[in-house]
Parts: sequence; C-alpha cells; structure tokens
Amino acid sequence: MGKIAIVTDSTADLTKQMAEEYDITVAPLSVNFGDKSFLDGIEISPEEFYKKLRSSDRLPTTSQVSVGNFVELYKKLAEKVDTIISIHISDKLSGTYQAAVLAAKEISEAEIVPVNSKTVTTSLSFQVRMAAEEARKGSSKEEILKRLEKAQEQQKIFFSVKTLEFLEKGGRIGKAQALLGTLLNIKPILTVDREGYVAPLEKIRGHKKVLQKLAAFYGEFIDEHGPNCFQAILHAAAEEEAKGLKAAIEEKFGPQNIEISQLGPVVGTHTGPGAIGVVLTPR
Amino acid sequence: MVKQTDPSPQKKIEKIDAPLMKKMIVAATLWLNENQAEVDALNVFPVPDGDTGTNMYLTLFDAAKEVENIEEKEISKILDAFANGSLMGARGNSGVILSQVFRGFANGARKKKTLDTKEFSFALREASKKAYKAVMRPVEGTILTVVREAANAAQIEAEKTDDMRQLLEVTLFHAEETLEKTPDMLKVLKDANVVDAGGRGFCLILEGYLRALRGDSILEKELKKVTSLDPAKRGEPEKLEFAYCTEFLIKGKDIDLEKIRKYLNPHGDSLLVVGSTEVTKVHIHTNNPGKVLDFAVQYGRLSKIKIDNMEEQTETKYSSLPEPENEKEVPLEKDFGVVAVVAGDGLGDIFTSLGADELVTGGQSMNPSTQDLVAGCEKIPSERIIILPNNKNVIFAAEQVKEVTKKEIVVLPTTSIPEGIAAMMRINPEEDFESIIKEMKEGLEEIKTGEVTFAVRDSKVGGMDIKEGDVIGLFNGEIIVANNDVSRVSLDLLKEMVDEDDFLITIYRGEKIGEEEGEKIKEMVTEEFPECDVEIYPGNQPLYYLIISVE
Repeated sequence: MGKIAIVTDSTADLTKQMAEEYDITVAPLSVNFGDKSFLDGIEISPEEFYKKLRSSDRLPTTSQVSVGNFVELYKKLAEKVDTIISIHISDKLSGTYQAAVLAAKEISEAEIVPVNSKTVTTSLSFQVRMAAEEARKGSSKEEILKRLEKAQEQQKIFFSVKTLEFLEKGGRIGKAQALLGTLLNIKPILTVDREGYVAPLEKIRGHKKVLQKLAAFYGEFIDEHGPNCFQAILHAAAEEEAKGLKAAIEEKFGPQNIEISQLGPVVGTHTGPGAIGVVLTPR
Repeated sequence: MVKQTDPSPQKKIEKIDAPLMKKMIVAATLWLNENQAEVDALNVFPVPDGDTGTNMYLTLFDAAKEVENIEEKEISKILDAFANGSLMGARGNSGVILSQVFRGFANGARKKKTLDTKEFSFALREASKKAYKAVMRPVEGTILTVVREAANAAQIEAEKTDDMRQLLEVTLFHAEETLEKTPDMLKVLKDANVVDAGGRGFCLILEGYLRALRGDSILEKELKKVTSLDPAKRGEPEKLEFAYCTEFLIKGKDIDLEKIRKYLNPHGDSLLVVGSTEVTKVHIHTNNPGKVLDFAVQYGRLSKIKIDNMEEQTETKYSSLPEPENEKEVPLEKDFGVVAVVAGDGLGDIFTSLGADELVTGGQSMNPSTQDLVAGCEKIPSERIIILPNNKNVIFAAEQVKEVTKKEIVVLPTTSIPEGIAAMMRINPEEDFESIIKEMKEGLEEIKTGEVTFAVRDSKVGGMDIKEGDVIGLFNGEIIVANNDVSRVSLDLLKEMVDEDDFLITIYRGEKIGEEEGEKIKEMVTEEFPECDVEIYPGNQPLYYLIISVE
C-alpha cells in the first residue's frame, strides 16, 4: 500500500513543532502590510504580527496560497508518496482550497485529494492531526476521509471578537453582517457554520458574560460528546485571558486536556486582536 | 309622557333614550376630568407612573368622541360606539377594564331603543360579568368589586322603582360604600391608606350619569367642550409627516457621526446615526431620501440601502449601487415586525438599532392607548407583529390590539425597558417565528430591573418613611431603597440586585442625568462591583433618573 502525505495551510495555526512531530507539510498564506508581504508563520510569527498590528496605521490584508505554490509543493511530495491529502481552510473564507483543487489537476505523479475542512485555525489543525495519526497508523485514504467527514459534522468553534470591524473590513463577516451598527456594545458569540461561513450564534453584552458563555458552550459540547475531544482555547494576543478561561472551565468541569492556541497572522488579520474562543472536535 | 331629553329635578325619568345617554356620557367624561387629579393621587405606590385618573379619563375621552359623531336614535347604537371608542382609547390596566365594562354594558343593551331601570340594571350586570372575564386573575378590592356591587344594588332597586334617577342614586350610593371597603379587601390599599383608584373612577362615572339625569350645571357644557379639552400630548393618529423610511450603511474612513447627525436632523425625524467611524448605520424618516443619500455618499461607500414608503406600507429595495453580496431578493413583506413602547429618545434609538420597527411613545410618563399601539402595528409591512409593552401597566392595553386588527399579534409581557432590550437581544432572524418568540421570552426572564426615580407623595412602604421628592430605588417594581441622593440610592439598590452569577450592569441614564454625572455613577459602580462589566448609555427617559439592568 502506498504512502500518504498530509498537507494543510498556515491558517491551521499549527506550531512548527507540531507540524514536525506529525510530519505535516504546511503551505503558507501571506499577510501584507502595505506593499510588504510576509509568508505566514515563516517570515512573520504571531508575536511579531500582533506587535506590527499595534504600530501599523493601516490594516493588513491577506493573500491565499497560489495554484503555482501548490503545484510546486505537490510535485516535491509526489516524489516520496502516492497519495496526498490536502486539508484546507473553509472555501467560504479563503480561495486556498480552490487553488489546491486547481493545482491537483496539474499533478499526475500522485493522487491529490483536496479537502475542504469547512473550518479554520485550530479546528482545522484537529482535522489535520487526525489525518496524520491515521496515515501513520497505515489507514487507507478512504478511512482517513471518512474520519475527516465525521469531524466536520461534529466540530464546533465558538469565538468572540473585540470588534466586528476586522471581519467586516476583510469581507469575512458572513452572516454576522446583521449585527453591524447596533447602539449597544454587543459582543456576539460567532461560529463557523456547517457550510463554513462565519455566523452569529448569540448576541452577548459585556466581555465577562462572553467568557461565561464560552465556558457554557464548552460544557454543553462535553455533555453531548463526552470528554474525549480535541479541545483548545483560541486567542489573538490575549494569552492571560485565555489562561483565565481555561482555569474557569477546569474549575467548573474538572481538569481537562485543553490546549491554548494563538491565532496566527492570517486568521488574526480577520479577527483583530483580543479575539477569544473555544474549539472542540470529538476524537 | 315625560319629555326625556329635558330632564328636570321634579320629573320622574322612566327611560333613558339615545340623546339622554349621549348627555350622560359627556357628563361622566367631564366629571372624571374635574376629579382626575384626585384619582391620580390614589396611586398605591409613590412612583411617577401611568396614573389611573389620567388613564381612565383619556379612555373615556376617546370613547365620548366616538359618540359625538353619531346621530343615532337607538341607545344600543350609542352604547356600541361608546364601547368601541373606549376599546381603542384604552390606556393602562384601568382603561382596559373600563373598556370591558362599557363593552359588557353595550352587549347587555343590545337592540334596545331605550333603557328602563330593569334594562339598565341588566346591562350593568353584563358589564360586571364582562369585566371579570377580561381579567385573568380577578382581585377583590378593585374596580371589579365596585362594578359588581353596583350591579347587585341596581338589580334589587330596579325591582322597586321605575325611576332611573332613583335607580342611579341607589346604585351610586352602594358603589361608594363598596369603594370605602376596598382597603379592607386589599392589603396594599390599606398600607397606603387609600381606596382603590379604579373603583373611585367608576364611581365618578356613575356620578356623572346621575348629574346628567338631575340636570346639574355640568350638563350645560356642550359635548364640543369635551373635545376641545386638550389632554396633554396625546397620540392622535396623525398623518405621516415624513413618508420614506430610509436606511443604509456607510462604509468609509473617519466618518464623522456627529456631523452627519447635525446635517440630517432637519431633513426628517426618527434619525439614528450609529456605529463606528468605519461602518455607520443611518436611519431616518424623510421626504427626500435622494438628498439624504447624496449627502451620505461623500463619506464612503453606501450599502444595504433600504427605502420604504411608509404610507404604502410596502417595501422596495433599490440596488442603485453595485453590491454583489447583497443582491438577494428582499420580500415585499417582512416576516415579522416589532413595536416597542418607549419613553426617551436614547432608549428609542437603542430599540431601533436592535431592530424594532416602530416605537410608540409611552411607558412611565404616559400610557399609550390601544389605538396608539394599533397605529404602530399597522405601519409595519408585516402580518405578524410582536409588541413589547415594557411596562406592566401597558400589557393589558397591548392585548386589546388583538381585538381590532387582522394581524397576528404577540404581546411579550415585558414589564420594563431592560426586559424589552433583553428580549430584543434574543432575536435571531434566521430562526422561525415560534422559536424567536420562545427565545425572546427566555431573554426577558433572565434579567433583573432596577429603577431610580422620585417619590410623588409621602408614603410608608415596607417600613420606610418616604417623603415626597425623595429619591427611591425599585427592584423589579418594588421600592426597596429611599434616600436623597441618586448615586447613594443606585449603589444601595445594586447591592440588593447583584449576586455572584451576575456579570453585567447596564445603566440607562435619564434626561435629568448629564453625561458627566453618569460617568461618575459608572465609576462608582465599577469600583463597588469589580467582578461585573459596567456600561452606561444615554436613555434620556423622563421621570426616571436611572434605569438599571443586572444580568
């Protein structure tokens, strides 16, 4: 049976260490400050990005992975493997998946299977890690895709942003558009829905209530799916608060294996600093 | 044969006919007007609120106006018009009950050309029954008891006399006797040392009737005189001054909201300019939407442009600007609409920005009539309307809207502004109507309301000696703090309200509390409750210094 390689993109917000450990190839998107472009996670780290964001008077933009980048990357991998499963950010949030689909048609040396994760950031990384685990075990392509499909059905992401402006500016606001221009200081809890769009889940007022609600969503999910889940708290330059939320969750539901994960430059461009959230996917 | 239209003290009146009934109605209206302040003063709580005397008088006033316009020979027609008018004019709980009394009376007099004592007492009995039926949990010691006892007395007396004047004298005597006993039936009345205000209002109406039969001087005032009275700022169903509801987003940079507000203000009403310097939402009722858009476009890209002709009650979407992601077809009808009862332009803006379609002015200062609420509902191009009364004294009148409109009406029983806002927060337009209603109901139950206002008279409440003018703090409608300082009362009130599950305190400051004073209060509250987020917004509501929510 042939070897399977797993590819994702930088919006999975995998750490370098994790990518190496799981043997995952990461295609970087780019983040642009003015006319300067940086490869996500390679030329700019999350820390550097949030520092730059604070000092920059213009908001950064992002660029997807190009078809050419994918072709190059796939060709290199095809020398070593027969099958490449390429798992990417929701096609409703980026053109990266489309680029992977187009690139796949150019490659004959190996079978390329692009997968639309219908999610982003650590939630995407959960799918990628599952696939890598399966590949390492020697599971077939079909088995891996089946597991990914199940993950896509069950995965949940709950997050809140300090302001909707970044999502609005970047054109990623999706169904949360309706919340723009309200007079009260509304902090919606957002999700990425089954189709892969950003969608409002609940309107909340007051930041402390947001944290309380995130913990409640966490509890509901664990009640439904049991504690054997990939689970993480996401944040954009809000580590202390993320730790606080983890502590609050553990106080309520007992010690849990919760990762704390920083949103990378590309995702951070669209949420803005101060975003915080919870992601869960049953194993 | 006695000439009934010209009653004199000497002659017996065996029958009331249509013209006499009209005179009686006018007399009752005038008499209630004379004594309105006295009834208002019977309010149990010393809180500035929709007063019973005012509510009953305005209800009667609207009803009397209906009668003025008809030249009917049959008393049943007069009474029908009177009942319908009172239904539309009903304000506050007392007004609604009164409208039910008149409806029952009219039903009891159906097809009658005139009323003799037996027929009158029968109609009064029907009135009592109807009023009891309208109230979900009838309480003794209220107007209900007074009406019932009056009807009982009338029935017994009607067996003995064929003189309407005699009948009404006895009926009034018993009504007043019952009224005096209301404090023994209802503890809140006893505590406040008053008789029931609604019951008193009803006695005044009976007295007005009797005065008309006696030919008292009050009768000499013409019916026109009634309609020339100008009840303070009442919501006449007016012609629309501005026809086009115009709404859009401006997406730009450094948008100067204040400047836009200033420029647009003279171009219409219901102006709302909110959002950030990057995305600003504008809402205005204007006669020249083109001019408004023309002005706004210099600040950035316009999107989500929506212009409704409110007179046609239809909705047209202009996609004059390319906006590919917004090209979805907008249906001519909204799936549902929301009418909110609000006093204060700041609070109004908040409700509008949360998606309320129509605001009806009222609440603490003045209870809106059923007619005002109907008008709000009719303006919205939707067959399903949710009403947020936001005051316990408006809920009943809102329920009456169902009787007079073809639209499907859902009254969410919000008893305060914070409850209304909490309900609005739960609206998720993606869900179906039933789920939305359910969510909104849950929302309103999860919030605690505090109000800081002043006492309108001396009183004793829960062991507190309250002097007129004292600052008082109410928690879910009950007075729990009294003092002479707004910030002191606010803190004491909040200490009672906030418990460990609460994370957010929201303060809506009234028209008497300036921005600076508001900030000071916010700072104090933040210091006292470090575990909560504290937010303050200009509500600009009258009478209430602060409205506070805790959740």
